[in-house]
Parts: sequence; structure tokens; C-alpha cells
Amino acid sequence: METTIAPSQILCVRGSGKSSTELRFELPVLQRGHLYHVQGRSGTGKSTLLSCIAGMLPFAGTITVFGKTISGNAQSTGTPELYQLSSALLQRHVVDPDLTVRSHATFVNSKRDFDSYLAEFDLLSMNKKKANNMSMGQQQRLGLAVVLAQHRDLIILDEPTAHQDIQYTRSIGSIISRMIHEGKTIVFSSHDRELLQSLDCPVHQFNNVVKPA
Amino acid sequence: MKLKQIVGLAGRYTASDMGITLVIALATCCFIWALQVATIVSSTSDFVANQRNPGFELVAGANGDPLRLSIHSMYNVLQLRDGLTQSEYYAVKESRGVKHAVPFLSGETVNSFGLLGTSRPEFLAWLSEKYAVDVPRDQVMCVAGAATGMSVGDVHEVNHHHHEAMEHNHSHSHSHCEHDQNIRVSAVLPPTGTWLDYRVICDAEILWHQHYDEWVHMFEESGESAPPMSDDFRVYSWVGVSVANPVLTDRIRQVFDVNSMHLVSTTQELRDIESAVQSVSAFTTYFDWLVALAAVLCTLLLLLLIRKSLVLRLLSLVLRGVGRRASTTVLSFTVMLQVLLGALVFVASFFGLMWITEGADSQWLGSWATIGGIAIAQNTVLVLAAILITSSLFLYLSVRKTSFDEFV
Repeated sequence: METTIAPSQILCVRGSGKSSTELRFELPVLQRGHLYHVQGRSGTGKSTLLSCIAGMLPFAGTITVFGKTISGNAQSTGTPELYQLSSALLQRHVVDPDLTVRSHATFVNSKRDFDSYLAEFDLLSMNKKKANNMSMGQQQRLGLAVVLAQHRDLIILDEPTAHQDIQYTRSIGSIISRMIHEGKTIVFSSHDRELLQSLDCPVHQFNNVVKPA
Repeated sequence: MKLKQIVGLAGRYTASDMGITLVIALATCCFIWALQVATIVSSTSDFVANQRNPGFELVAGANGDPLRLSIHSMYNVLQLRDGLTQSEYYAVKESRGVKHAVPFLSGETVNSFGLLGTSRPEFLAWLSEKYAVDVPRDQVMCVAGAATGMSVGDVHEVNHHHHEAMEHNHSHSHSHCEHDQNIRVSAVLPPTGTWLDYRVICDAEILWHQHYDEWVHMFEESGESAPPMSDDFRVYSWVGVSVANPVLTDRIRQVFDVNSMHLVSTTQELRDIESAVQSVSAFTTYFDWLVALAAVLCTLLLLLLIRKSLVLRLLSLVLRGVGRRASTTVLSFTVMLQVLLGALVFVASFFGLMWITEGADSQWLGSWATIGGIAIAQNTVLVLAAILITSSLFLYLSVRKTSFDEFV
């Protein structure tokens, strides 16, 4: 992996072994109270980029968040500064399948807010249900409730409205807008026009991929 | 993340991964069982290995199995079917070349130590010459070995187990008696490094009278009158023979082997037994470590097999804002709970088995808790340490340090 790249760019590897692909991304400086929408066609590495910003994947280069420049390390197992700063809803592993809805409260900072999100997502009555016994849409909303109730300053949402109907999509859009007004920073990817139309705040669009290597 | 939350999550994972929990718990249980069996074998073989011959060149007993006679004289196990009458005993004692002929009557125990009846003059003469020990000439002799832990003046209950040698000499055979009597320790022998250390030796007359009383009691129960006590009652189980000149050993032996008796040479038969016992004892010394090593290897193999699911769980925790260190701790606690469950299964199965085989006796359970408890605790700690150290190292080096590129 190259290490001499521009500071505003990051380089990471998607996959492992012979089928792995190197991806270069150009990132804006992430500021408080802003909403960033990662655009790009399917398969161009949006989820990989969001995983890097969430600190889950190693990368080379730097990411500037709230005025602080965080350097990645391509040989590392992830970036602790980023995953301690953010909470992320990635496409896979949205919930812990072995835990009940109530058990997910272990991971949140505010149980009251968690309950209020569960109520908003019609999950409050499923407290004792295990996540792997729920539908994909319910799991997605549970994952979203956990992420939002963690009260981190940086929130990363990869396709937050996956498996959701219009009503829930609008509800999620309205929650995202509310969080931005509260001063949170959200980086998300979505192809959902309904979600984009329901947002009630400025959206910084950026096309992530510079050049697939 | 607070400890309460870590333990809570570990508990939920232990319950949800029932398959893995069962495998780890049963493996732990089996390893502790293997160690426990090794401990029992080891302590038994150590005990037996200490039961050395106190210096008898020959052992005389009724005609039967010479090996059984050898083992019985040495370890006080495997009861003898037949005994030696007074005339047979004197035939041995008065043989040419015999220096000491010390008769013993076995069949009772005191505090789980073998109680032997003997002829006081013969025993004390031999003891004085062989070990230069002079025992006080009390009215009733009851000498305790050094390893019995008894003190002068202690009163102990005699437990009757078998009177087979005596029964053989009576036409009126009877079943085992449970009529117990107490004895008072009159002297304690210094350590000799032989089976004498593990025996209590008293006048045979005491035991004969006790047996006769029981016999009379049985006659009374059946409404008959018992015949008076005769020499038929005064039988010995075996005789320890010390020869004047070792060269004569084989010649004395040949004389008696053609009669109704066996004279077993302790230097031949017992040498093989001692060597076998010492081999078992040496093997069990290393067995503990072999079991611990097997526990480590099996734990590693199992963790390797489930590594992918462990990494996914770590990822799941890290994604939910739990740091890698805390996530690894949650995984370690999960293994710890699974292993502790195995230890509980072991303890339950061990005491359950003992309960079934020994009966529901609270006194017995109490004594096991104190005597066997130490060994059980040692074995449990050894296995738990082996498994927990291995799993923690594995989780730290192989799972915590992993990159999530394959899984995100």
C-alpha cells in the first residue's frame, strides 16, 4: 500500500487476499453540525469509506474531524481515535443477533433516549425479543436507535433507510435533521430519494472515489 | 464499560452460545475428572508405596494364594480365606533357623487404619531387637504407628469388617458383625518407614474375646447356648518371620511349602509389587501436567475453530462503541463463565457419584468436603488456570489484534 498520498485523501483496501482492491477517497473536512452525503454508484466503495471514517478499517492518509487531523495507519487494526469519537451504523452487523432489544441498552449512554427512539420506531413492545428473531427492517431500526442514543458527536450511517417503508424513511429523515440542528455531525450514504427529500437541513454532497487503483 | 455490564454481556453470550458453552463446560469437567482420578490413583499409590516391609524375611500363612498372602501382609488388603491355628503357628516359631515369628490377626480397622492383633511377647521382642523400641508394659497393649496421628490415651472405635480367617475354623459360620468396641492407645511407635507406621497393634487376646462375645451373642439370638472359648478361636491371619541367617531362608521355606502352609519370601514376591506400585506413583506425578497440557491444546483447538465467530463478536462490540480492550474482556469473561460452569458440573457429578455409591450420609459428606476438598480445589484451579490463561492469551493475541477488513 502506498503511503505518500495527499493529506486530504485516504487510501484503503477493500476485501482481502488476491481479490482485494485498493481504493482512494477524497474527503472534505468534517465540521460540527454538518450533514455529509457520500455519493457514488453502487460498488464504488462508499461503505468502505464510511468504515474507515468510523475507525473500523485501517487506512493510509489523514481525516480531519472537528479541526483535529487524525492520521491513519495502513498496518493497524483500526483507528481508535475515530471509533471512540463516532458511532456507526454500517450495512452489516447492525445489531448483535444474540442479544435482546433490551440488552442493547448496555451500549447506549442514555437509556431514556434509547426508549424514546424504540417508541418512535415501534420497537418498545419487543423488549424481550432477540435481534435475530426480528425482521431486517426492525433490526435496522434497532441498530439506528442504539447509534443515536450513544450521543456521539460524529454519526456515520450507511444506508440508514435500508428495508424501511416510506413512513419510517420520513421518520428517520426527520431525526437526522433534528440531530444536525442539535449540533451533531452526520456522514451518510443513501440512494433513497425519499430520505433525501425529507431532510430539513443543508446537505454537503461529495463524490468519494478519486481513482480506483 | 463497567464490570457489571461486562459480566452481564458475558452471561448473555454464555446463554446464547449454548453449543459452545456445553463443549467448553464438558471439556473442563472431563479434564478435572481426569485430574481427580489421577489424584486418587497417586495418593493411593503413594500410600501403598510407603507400606514397606518392616524386616520380615518370610511371611507364613495358610495354604492358598501366595501372592494374596504377600499383598495382605504388606498392605492389609485382600482378606485371607484361611488362618493359622496355634499349633501351626508354633510349628513355624519352633522351626530351625527362625529367630522371630510374630503372629498377626487382621480384619479390623481403627480410624481407617488397620488394627492387628498379635502375641505381645513375640512382637515386643522383635520390635526391641529390630528397632530398639521399648513399649511400656501396660496391662492392655495398644500400640499406634507414627502415621496414624494417634496419641497416648486416645480412645478410638474398632470397626469390624471381616472375620474370615476365624470363621473358617468354626462350623457355625456367621455373617459380618457390626458390634463395635473402643480401644485406648497405650503407646505410639517412632517412625519406621514401613507399614508399622500405618497400623495399630494390640493384644490378639482382646480381639479373640471380642469375636467370641459376638459369637455368643449370635447364639443367644438363635436361642442356643454357645460352646466355651477354645483354642479354635485363637487363630492368626499370618506370621512375620525373621530368620537367624538369611542363607537358611529358602530351606525353611521349602519345609513348609510341602505342608498345609505357605512361607512367602518377602524379598522375592514383594519386590515386584513394590516396583509396580512405584511405577504407578511415578507416572501419576507427570499425569497432572499431561492433563493440563491436554486442556491447553484442546482449548486452543476449540478457539481456533470458533475464531471467526469470536472476531465477529468483537467486531459487533467495537461497532457498538465498546473499545477493543473492553470487548476482549467481555469475550474472556464469557469463556470464564463457560469454564466455571464446567467446574460446577464436575463438582455436582463428583459428589453425586459419591452420594450414589456411598449413600446419603451427612457425616461422610462432611469428611469428604474436608479431606477430598483440598485435592478437588487444587485440580479445579489447575485446569481453570490452564484454560483461562490459554484462552485469554489467544483472545488477546489473535482476536483483539485482528483487522476487521474481512468482516466489515
